[in-house]
Amino acid sequence: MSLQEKMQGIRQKFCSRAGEEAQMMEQDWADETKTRAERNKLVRDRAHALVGTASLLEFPELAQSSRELEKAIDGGAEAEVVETHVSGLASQLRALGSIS
Amino acid sequence: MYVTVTCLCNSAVVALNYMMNILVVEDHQFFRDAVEACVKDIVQDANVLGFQTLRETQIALTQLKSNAHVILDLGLKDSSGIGTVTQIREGWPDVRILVLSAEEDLQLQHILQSHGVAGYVPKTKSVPEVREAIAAFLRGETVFDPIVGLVDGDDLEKRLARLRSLTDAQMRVLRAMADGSLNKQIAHDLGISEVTVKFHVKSVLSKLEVANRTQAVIELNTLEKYGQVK
Repeated sequence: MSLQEKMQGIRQKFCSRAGEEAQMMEQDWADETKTRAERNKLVRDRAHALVGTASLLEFPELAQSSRELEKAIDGGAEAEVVETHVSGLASQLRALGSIS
Repeated sequence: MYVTVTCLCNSAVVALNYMMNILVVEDHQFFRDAVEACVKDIVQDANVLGFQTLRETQIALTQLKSNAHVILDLGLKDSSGIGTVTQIREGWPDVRILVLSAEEDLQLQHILQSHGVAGYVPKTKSVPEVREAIAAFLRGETVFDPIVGLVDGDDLEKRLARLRSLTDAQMRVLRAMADGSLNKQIAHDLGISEVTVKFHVKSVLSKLEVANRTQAVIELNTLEKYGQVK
């Protein structure tokens, strides 16, 4: 199997799990048993991981949205702003999941 | 046991007679799968091992009897930042390390070089670029952006010194700002008055030589990647 074929397989697996990733990100952000700092870290870690994976697997818009969420948290953005980024990113992930 | 490793790089076939252990350390499954695919495309017979944590990596390095190449993500669940590199370098100084990071930062590259890392590749590169960087790393080359030579390392030290000059109270306020809290919430959480919070915020901005809260928080988050802050 060529590298290109292997990458295509990984892309398909990523898409098939994208909806689940969206759900976990939203759950982390909505988890009221955790402090705002803990929720920030959970969501930021997910976004940070997505930046690299989405770039390498050639989903540039998803990578960009992930980077924006990461930057918003790093910049100390208010909860409403972070929530908007989380919702937008989750929608993009679900859209990827629906085409897998 | 020695095996012949065939390395297909730049259309050339290079036969290398040594046991090559390649550790891919990355906690995000799909990225790790992609990197492993690139590695196996370059060296078909190498021993490619995937790990998610620094702890697993350290155990593997202890068990391996021959040389190893480590392709490393800096942000793992049990370790992050430059500390991930230093913990490997301290225990296994001869291991060659290629860092793959989602941070696109020339100063990070500068710091990694000073810690003996053999290469640094931003994760935002394409598959062919990542593959070529890994191939060069496995050929024994160093893989850095040449523009890194233009980075002023002293600037980083000065910025770290400014951050370290904050008092404990100022640092607590800055960390609360980093969590997205407003002055009123910070005052409540730290048990101080809002006026005192404003005073601390003003001092933080002045000491860090930044114009606003956002820049101060970005400075904190950026510099924490490079060293012990407080």
